[in-house]
Amino acid sequence: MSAVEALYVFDNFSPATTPILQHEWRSRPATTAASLYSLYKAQPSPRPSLIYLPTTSPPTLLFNIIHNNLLLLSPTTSEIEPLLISEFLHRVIDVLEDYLGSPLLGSKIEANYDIVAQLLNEMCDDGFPFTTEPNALRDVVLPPSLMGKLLGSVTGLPSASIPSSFTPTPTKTLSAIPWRRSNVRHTNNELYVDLIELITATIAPSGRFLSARSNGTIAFNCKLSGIPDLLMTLQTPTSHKQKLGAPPSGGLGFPVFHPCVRLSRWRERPGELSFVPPDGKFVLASYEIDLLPSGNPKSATQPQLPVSVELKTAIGPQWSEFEARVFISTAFLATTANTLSASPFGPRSSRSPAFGGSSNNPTVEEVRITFPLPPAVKTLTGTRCSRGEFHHEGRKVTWKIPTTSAFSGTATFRTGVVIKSYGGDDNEVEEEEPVDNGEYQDVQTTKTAKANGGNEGEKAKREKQAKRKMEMAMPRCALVAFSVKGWLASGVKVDSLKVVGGKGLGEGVKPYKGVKYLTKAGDIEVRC
Amino acid sequence: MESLSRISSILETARDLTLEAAQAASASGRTIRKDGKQGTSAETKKLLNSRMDKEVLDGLRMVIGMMSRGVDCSEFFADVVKNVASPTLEIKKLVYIYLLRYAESEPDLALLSINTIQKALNDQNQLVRAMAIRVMSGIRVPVISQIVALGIKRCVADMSAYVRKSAALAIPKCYRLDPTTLPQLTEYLGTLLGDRSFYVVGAAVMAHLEVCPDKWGLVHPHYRSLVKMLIDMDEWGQLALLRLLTEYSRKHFPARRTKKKVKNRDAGGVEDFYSDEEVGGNARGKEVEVATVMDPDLELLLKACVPLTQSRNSAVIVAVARVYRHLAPPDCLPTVAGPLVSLLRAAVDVQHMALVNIVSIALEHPQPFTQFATHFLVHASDPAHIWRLKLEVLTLIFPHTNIHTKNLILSELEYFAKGYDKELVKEAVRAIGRCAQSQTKNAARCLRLLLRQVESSDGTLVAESLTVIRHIIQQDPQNHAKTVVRLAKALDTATNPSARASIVWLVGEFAGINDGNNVAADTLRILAKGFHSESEQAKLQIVLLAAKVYAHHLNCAPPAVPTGENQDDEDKHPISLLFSYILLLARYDLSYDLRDRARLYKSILSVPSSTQLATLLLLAPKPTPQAPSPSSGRESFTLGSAAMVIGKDEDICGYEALPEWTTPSRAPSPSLREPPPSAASGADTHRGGSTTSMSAVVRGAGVRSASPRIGSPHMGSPRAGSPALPPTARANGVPESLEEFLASEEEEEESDEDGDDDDEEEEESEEEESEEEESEEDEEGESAGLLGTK
Repeated sequence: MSAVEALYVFDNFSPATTPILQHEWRSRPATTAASLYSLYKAQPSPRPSLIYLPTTSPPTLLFNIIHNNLLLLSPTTSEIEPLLISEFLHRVIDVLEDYLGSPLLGSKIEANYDIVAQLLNEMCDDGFPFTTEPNALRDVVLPPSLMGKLLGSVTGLPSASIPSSFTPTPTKTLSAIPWRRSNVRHTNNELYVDLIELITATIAPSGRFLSARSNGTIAFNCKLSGIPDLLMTLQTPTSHKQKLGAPPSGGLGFPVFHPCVRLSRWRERPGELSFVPPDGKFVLASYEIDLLPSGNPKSATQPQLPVSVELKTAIGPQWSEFEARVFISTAFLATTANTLSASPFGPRSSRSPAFGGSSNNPTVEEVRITFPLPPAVKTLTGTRCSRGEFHHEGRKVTWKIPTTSAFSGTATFRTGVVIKSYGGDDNEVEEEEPVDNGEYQDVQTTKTAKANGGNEGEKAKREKQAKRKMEMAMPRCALVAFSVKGWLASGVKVDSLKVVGGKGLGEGVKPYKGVKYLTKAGDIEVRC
Repeated sequence: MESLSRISSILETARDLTLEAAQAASASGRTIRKDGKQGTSAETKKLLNSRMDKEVLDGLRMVIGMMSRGVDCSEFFADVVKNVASPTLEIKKLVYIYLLRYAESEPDLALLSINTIQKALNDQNQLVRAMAIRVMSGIRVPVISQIVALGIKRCVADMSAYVRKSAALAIPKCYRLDPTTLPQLTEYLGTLLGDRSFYVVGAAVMAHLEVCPDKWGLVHPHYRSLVKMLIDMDEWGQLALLRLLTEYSRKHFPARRTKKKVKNRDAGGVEDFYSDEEVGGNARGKEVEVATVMDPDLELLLKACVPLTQSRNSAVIVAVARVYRHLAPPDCLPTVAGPLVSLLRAAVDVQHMALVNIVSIALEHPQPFTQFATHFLVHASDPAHIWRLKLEVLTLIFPHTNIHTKNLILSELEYFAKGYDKELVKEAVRAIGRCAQSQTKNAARCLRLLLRQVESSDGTLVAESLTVIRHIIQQDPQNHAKTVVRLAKALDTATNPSARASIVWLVGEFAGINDGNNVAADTLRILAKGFHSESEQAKLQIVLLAAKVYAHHLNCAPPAVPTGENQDDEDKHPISLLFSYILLLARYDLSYDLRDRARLYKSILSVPSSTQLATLLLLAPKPTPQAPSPSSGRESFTLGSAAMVIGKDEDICGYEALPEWTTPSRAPSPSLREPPPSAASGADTHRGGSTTSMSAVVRGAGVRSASPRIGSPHMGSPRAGSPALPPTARANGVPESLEEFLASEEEEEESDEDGDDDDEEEEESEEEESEEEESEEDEEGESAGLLGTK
C-alpha cells in the first residue's frame, strides 16, 4: 500500500536530465526518472512539494524538495501520508550531510555511491522507513573515512584477512539506545549548545507590530564518552518567577523534542530537559515564543529589535522615488546580554570560558534590506545609499549594510524608479478620456469656465493619475534581515547544563561546555 | 522541528556554496577520469574476481556506482554473486545490495546464492542475520517463497530485536512473492504484534497494514499494549500504529451518543471554553466529562496520543490530529490545534501540508484556531500555494474572533487587496467577500472596505471587488440602496469594462425600489451619452438596464391607451424616450448579440399584453449567490492523507475513506481486548513486571519511558553475550546506572519467563473459548508462536 517507492536526485548544476542518483526500494516504477523530471519541470514555479501527475500511468504523486543545488524527487503511486515522505526526505538529507559533510553536493554523492546506497538501503526497507537515526546508522554503515582506512589497510593479503580491529565498531553489538551508538569514546569530552532563534515579524505602516515571533532551535554537538545523562535547564528572563512552558504565553510555545528527551520530566518541571544525548550533532528541541507579550497587539509593549526601518514611498517631484532609513542600535542588546551573562552558571560553577564570553558584546551583523519591486518597475535611477552597497537583480533590490563591532546609527537608501510603459495600459488611458471629458463637461454646466476648468481639472487628473501610476510601482514592503551573535530575541538562556549520571565518562572528567546564542532575522516585513 | 541540515547551514555562515561546488566539481572531474579508466567492464570483472578483498571491494563500489547512476549492470551478475560467501562484512553488504536489484532478472543464478544466504541466518552477528532475511525476502524469485517463510519463522524467534524487526518487514515481501503463504505469515505477524520490544512492534504494524489490514482479530488482544507502547516507538512505527488504530477505533467502538452531550456542553457554554487564552487546563477538564460517554479503550488511545504532539516529526503530529479529528469529540480539538499551527515554523513543504490540514479542520471547527490568527499573516516571501491557504484560514476563523483580531484580519486583507500581484489581489478581495458573507454583522464594514477599492486604477482589483460587492448587496438588498447610489457615482471613474458592466447590472437590479424614485433612470441617461464608447460587455448591461427601467416604468404608470400614432415625442415620458433611444443605438451596433437582445426587449415591451411576461423575465428576484471557501469539500477526506492535499480521491489508488462508526449493537465486546490469559499474561507478567518496576522508576526519575532502561533488555545482542555491566552494582542491591538497573531486570525477566509461560498455557485454552469468538484461532496460533519464541 503506502510506501516510499524510489528516490531520484538531480543536480541543478549538471545540464543532464538523468539523475545523479537513483534508488528504488520496490520493483522498478512504471514511470522513469527522466520523464518524472520533465513533468516536474513542466509545472509552473514555485512548485508545491506534492505534485499530482494524473497523466502518468498509474497516476503518480510526486514529492519533491530542493536542497542546495540538489533536487530530490520521490514518486509514489498510492495513497500515503504526505508528511511521512517529506520528513523522510529531510531525514535522508540530514544523514547524507552527516556522512558526506555539509554542504551536500552532487559531486560528494558521486564520489561515495557505495556509502549512499548502503545508507538508503538501511534507512528504508521495502518502502518502509527502517533505521533513520544517524547514530544507529553509524553502527551499521561505515562512514567514508573509516571505509577508506579499511580499503587502505588491506594490502596484498589474500581474502579474509582484514584484521578485525579494522572493522571498527561494526556491528557485533547494536546500541541499546536507538539514538545513541554504542561504545562512544572521545579523547576530549566536549559539549556545545547552540540556541538559534529566527525572528519573523510583520510591522504595519504605522510602525506597530502585527506579529512578532521567535522560532527557537536548540542544536547540540555532543562529544562525550560512554552513555552520559544530561540535564539542561532553560530560563526565560521575562518569566523569572514563572516556570517555562506554563501558561500564560510567557514560556516556550509548542516545544517539540528529540526522542531522547524525557517528556514526563518536562511536564513536571517545564524548562528542564533531561536526556541521554545522541553522539555528534543533533537538534534537541525547538520552540516558538510570541514576542508580543499578550495576544492583543494594541496594548502590548512593542518588542525591541536592533534594526528598524522607515520606508517612504512615492516621494520627490515626480513621486518616483522611495527612501528607506535604517536605524541600528546595539545599546539595549548589550544591557540585556549583560544581565544574561551576569547570572551564575550552574550551581557547580563549572563555568567554562565559553559561557558568557561571547555574549558580552553582541554585535549586529549581516544587515540586509530587500525591497521586492512590482512588475511595473523597469529600472532604477539615481540610486544612492549612505552606507554599504546595493544590488539590483530581477524584481528586487538588496541593500547590504556592513557593520563593524558596536556600530549603531542610521543609514539611508534612496532611489528613483522608472516604470515600464505598457502599450496596452497607455491605450486604455487614452481611450477612457473622451468618456471622462464628456461627463465632466456635463457636470460642469457653467459655460464660461468650461474650457479653463476642463483643462485644469484634466491637469489635476493627469497628475493624480501619474501619481497613482507611480504608487503602483513602489515597493510595498521592505524585508529586513540581520543576525546578532550572543543575544536571543526571546531572552531564553541556558541556566545550567550538567552531566547528572550515566556511565562511561570517567570520574573527575569535566567536559568542556560551550553555549552560543544566535538570533537571525530573515523575514521581518516592514510594510508601507 | 527544523532539520539539522538547515540549522547547520544557519550556523556555518558565510559558506559560499557555489565556490565549494566549483571546487568539488573540479575535484570530481579528476575522480571521474580515474573512474573512467577503470570503467571498462573487463576491468571491473577482473577486480570482482580478484582474490584480494580490497580489489573486490573496489570492483563492487564501481558496480554500485554504475547502478546508482542508472546504468544496467546485469552483465556482472555472476561475478558479483560469486562473492556472496565472502566473510568480509563490507563485501557482503554490497553484494546484497546488488542482489536486491538484479536477482529478478537472473532467477536461476540468484538461486545459487540462496544457500549461502540461508547459512547467514545462523550467523553470530545479528546484523548479518538481519541482512540475510532482508535480502532473502527481497529477492523476487517466487520459487523460494517457502524458504523465505521458513526464514521468517526462524527470525521471528530470534533473540535480537533488530532481526525480528527485519523479519516483520520481510512478511509483506514474502506475501507479495507468494500469496498462498498468508496463513503462516499471519501467524508470525500475530507473534510479532505481541512482541515486547516496541522496536519490533512498529514494524509488525506496518506489515499488518500491508498484508492483512482486515484481520482485526490479530489486533484485539494487543490493543491495549499497543496503545501503551505508542509513546516508545520510533516515529515511523508511531505513524503506522496511529493509522491502524484510527481505523480500528472507527470499526470497533460504537459512535458516541453525541446528542446528550451537546446539551451538556451548551449549558457549560462553548464560547467560554474557546475564548479562553490557554487551552490546556480547560481542555483536560472537558475531556474527563466527555470520557463518561466514551469507550474507555478509546479514551486510552486519546490520552496516549497527547505526548506525541511534542514529537519532532511533523507527520506524527498530523497523525495525532487525525486521531482527534476523527475519533474525539470536537471540543477536544484544541489539544491538537496548537501543535498543528506550530508546524508553520518548519520548512515550506511541511508548512504547506500543515496548512492543508488546518484548513480542512477549520472548515468545520474554526474556533480552536482563532487564537493563532497572527500565525496566518501572509509574508512577502510566501509562494502562492501557501498564501492561498493562509488567506483561507483567516476568512474561516474571522467570524469567531474578537474585535481586535477582526480588525487585524480585515486590514491585512485590505493591504493585500492593494498589492501588485494580481492573483493575490483577487484572492484577498474574495476573502473579504467571504468574511462579509460569513457574518452579516460585518458586511457593512467589508463593504466600506471594498467600495474604497472601486475607485482604484487597478482593473483587476475593481472588477473583483465589484463582483464581491454584488454578492454582498444581493444578500441584503433592502439596506444597500445607498451603496448602489455610490456605485453609480463610481461609473464616472471606473474604466474596467467588467467593472462597469457589474455596476450597471446592480443599478438595474435596484431600479424598482422607492417606486422609481431612484438613480436608475438618471444613470441610464448619463450612460446613454457615452454609449458608443462602452465595451460590448457594458453595452449589453446598459440595454438591459434600459429594459428594466422601462419595465418598471410601465408597471407603475401604465401608459394611457395610446390614442394614435401621431402622438408627439414631447408628450412621451422621458423614460420611454430614453428606452427607444438606447434601442436605436443598439440596433446599429456591430455586435449581433447586442442587436438581437435589443430586438427582444423591444418586442417584448412594445405590447401592453406582454408587459407582465417582460416583468417576469427581467425583474425576477435573483437567488443569493454563495461563494464557498475554495477548499470546501476537503473536510470529508481523512485528515493527513494525500488525497486531501490533491482534493480528489477518484484517482488516488489506495485511498479509502475512514469507515463509519460502528453501531453499539455491532461493536464487539470489550472483553475481546482483554489480553489472552496465557500468551499475553505470559508476556504480561513479563511486561507487567517490567512495566511496574519500570514505571516506578520512570515516574521517580521522571523518565520518558523510551529511556535506555527499557530499550536495553530487548535490544542488546544476547548471542554476542556481552552484558555490559559490572556485577558489582547488583551486589549493592541498588542499581546505580541505567545499564546496571537494566541488567538486573533482564536477568529477572529471563528467569520469570519460562515458568510463567508454561503455567498459563493451559488456562488459556479454556478461558479463551468462553470469551472470544472471532479471533480464537488467531490468538491460539499466536500464543503458540510466541511460546515458540521462548
